[in-house]
Amino acid sequence: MDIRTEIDRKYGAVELHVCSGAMTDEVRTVERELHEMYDRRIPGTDARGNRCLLTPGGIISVYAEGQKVMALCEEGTYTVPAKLYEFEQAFGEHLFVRISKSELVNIRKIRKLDMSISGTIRIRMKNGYETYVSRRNVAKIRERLLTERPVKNG
Amino acid sequence: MREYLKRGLISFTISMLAGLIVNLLIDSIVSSVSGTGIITMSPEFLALFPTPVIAGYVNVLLYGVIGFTFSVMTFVYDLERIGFLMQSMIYFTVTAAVCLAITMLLWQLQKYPAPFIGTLAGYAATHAIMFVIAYKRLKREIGEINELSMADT
Repeated sequence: MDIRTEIDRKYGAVELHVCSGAMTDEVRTVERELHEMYDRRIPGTDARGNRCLLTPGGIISVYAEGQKVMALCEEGTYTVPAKLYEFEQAFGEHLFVRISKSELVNIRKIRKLDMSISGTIRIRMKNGYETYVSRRNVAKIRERLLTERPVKNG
Repeated sequence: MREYLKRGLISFTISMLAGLIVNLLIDSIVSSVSGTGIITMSPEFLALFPTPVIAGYVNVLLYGVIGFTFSVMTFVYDLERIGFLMQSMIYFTVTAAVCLAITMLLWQLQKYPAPFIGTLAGYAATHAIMFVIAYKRLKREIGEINELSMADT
């Protein structure tokens, strides 16, 4: 892969262009990694009222709790000033997948899914967080994982 | 909920149209073969209304109610804390109850035990087969997800 830097006054802000002859797994991986590094940060407020900026890649789950939208991260839970569908529109294409009417999870943080005898589908995240997936969204999770597969070096 | 009601209204309309078209086809074919007019409604149902036209309208509306019920009840599959088996049982119970009630009203199915039981058994069997197919597909998809997730770690 060639990495080139172009300094030209025509660029008002830093732009990253990914160029390729075709859309390949490698291109998708590069796009995904760049989005994770440079996507806009999200303002969040913790339980004590302290404000901070959250990195989308560090968020494990985003869920609706009453009228609020909460973001679960490794370091704690934060209230975010966005509706769930707004969050999904902004980040759903690259990092998050909807698992139920009221929750999105970070696709990179999924450890495994379990189905109990009664048929409840539980998702376990890499940090130990567990929640439920609705049946309709299982296929979506699978499709997203298939398209997000990293390129294997070899 | 708004989304389900919207889908329900669409299904209501489609079911009404489908029922109306089927009725028209049956009426047309039987009438042309027998040479006499026919309306595909039971005498007992017709007797409930002042005119056959009103009975016809209500007949079509009831087809719509069946479609509406099938569509709106799909909300149960989005209740992720209820297991798949329970979701299917709730869906089957409500849709079967509505379907059978309307069928009994329209064609007096309760007077004919064998067809009544046959209809119920047929619907239950169809539902059971669909459940088994969906369950197996779900298990397979979950297995694939777990393989992909493990490959990613």
